Amino acid sequence: MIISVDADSKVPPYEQVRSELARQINDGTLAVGTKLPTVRRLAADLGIAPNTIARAYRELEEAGLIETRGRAGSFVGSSGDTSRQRVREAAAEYAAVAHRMGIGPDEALAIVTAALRS
Amino acid sequence: MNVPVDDAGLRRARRWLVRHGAPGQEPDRLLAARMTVRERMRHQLILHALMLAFLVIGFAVLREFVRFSVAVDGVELMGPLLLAGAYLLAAASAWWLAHRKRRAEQRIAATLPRRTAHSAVRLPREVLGAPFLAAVAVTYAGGVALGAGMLLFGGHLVDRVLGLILTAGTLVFGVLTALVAGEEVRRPALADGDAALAVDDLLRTQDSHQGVPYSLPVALVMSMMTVSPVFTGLLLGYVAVALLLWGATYLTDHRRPLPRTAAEPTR
Repeated sequence: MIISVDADSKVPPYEQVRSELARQINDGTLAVGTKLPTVRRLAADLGIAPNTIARAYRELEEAGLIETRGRAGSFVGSSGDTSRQRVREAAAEYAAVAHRMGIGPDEALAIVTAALRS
Repeated sequence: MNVPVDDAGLRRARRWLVRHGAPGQEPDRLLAARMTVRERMRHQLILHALMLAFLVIGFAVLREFVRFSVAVDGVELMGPLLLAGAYLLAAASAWWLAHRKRRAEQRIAATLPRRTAHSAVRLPREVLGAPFLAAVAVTYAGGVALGAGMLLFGGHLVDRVLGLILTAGTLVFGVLTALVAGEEVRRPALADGDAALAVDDLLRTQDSHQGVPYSLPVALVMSMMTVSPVFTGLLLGYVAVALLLWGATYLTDHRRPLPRTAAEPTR
């Protein structure tokens, strides 16, 4: 259960933090209810600005992966699995729509890839 | 990492790794730099202890030529007061050295291009460990209780003054130990990978135990100064039990094995 930030990486630090925490929550490394370090603590540990961590936490909260319980801090949310399930359902729905419209798998994948990168 | 590391630092780091169950592993520059900082602090601690000893001895010698006296109701209290002064100086030295070590390591941290931390909170009791918490409880709560007992029930003024010094000094040291341990638990991680983070966890635990239980030598000296044989027995018993617990804590720390992740070098 560790997290790293590489100052030389082309990926912005907030995205390194967000994606790593999201991965650990989704694959169950960070169990539901696990307390995350405070924004200030994680910022100090990783040698980056607190705003950077705050942004990563905000995005994780918006995605339903973590929840903030006032002064008690941030915890891994119970909706982590639900989020993945929602994405799977949306993907199935998208695949059905693409099929109905006569769009081939390669083109459908390219559209999704472009959407993810935009 | 742009921190100068010499061969002696690397040798110290190698020895540290062997002691903690990772023989044959080549230490990285980060561990060598941290070992160098610790060695410097150890030298300073010895220097402070020597200075304190010279100060006490010098004062005792000076008293042979110049008569100082602090007497209450005809009872000479210079000895207990000298002990209290040495107690305070030792407390200040311990806090200052811990502070300097953290500052030196923060400078090393600033040179790391990659930083690693735990993604979940580690509770203070996980960092500090049960033997240390037991040793602290016996040393500080026990010391304050014993000192208060001497203060309240001492039949002689010397015993009451000794009780006051033991209570106040142990309280001061208890707060100081809690501060040092708390600062170590809260200090930012200093690691650039999995293995370095495991090393950092172990160093954090060891550092949080570095508060020297000065109330034990003070209690030992007091056991020779007290008038009542009951207090002599209680003080000696207190020192013996606390020493056993601190011994267990330091022995555990000294040989505590690194987690498996640290058995492989980071670079």
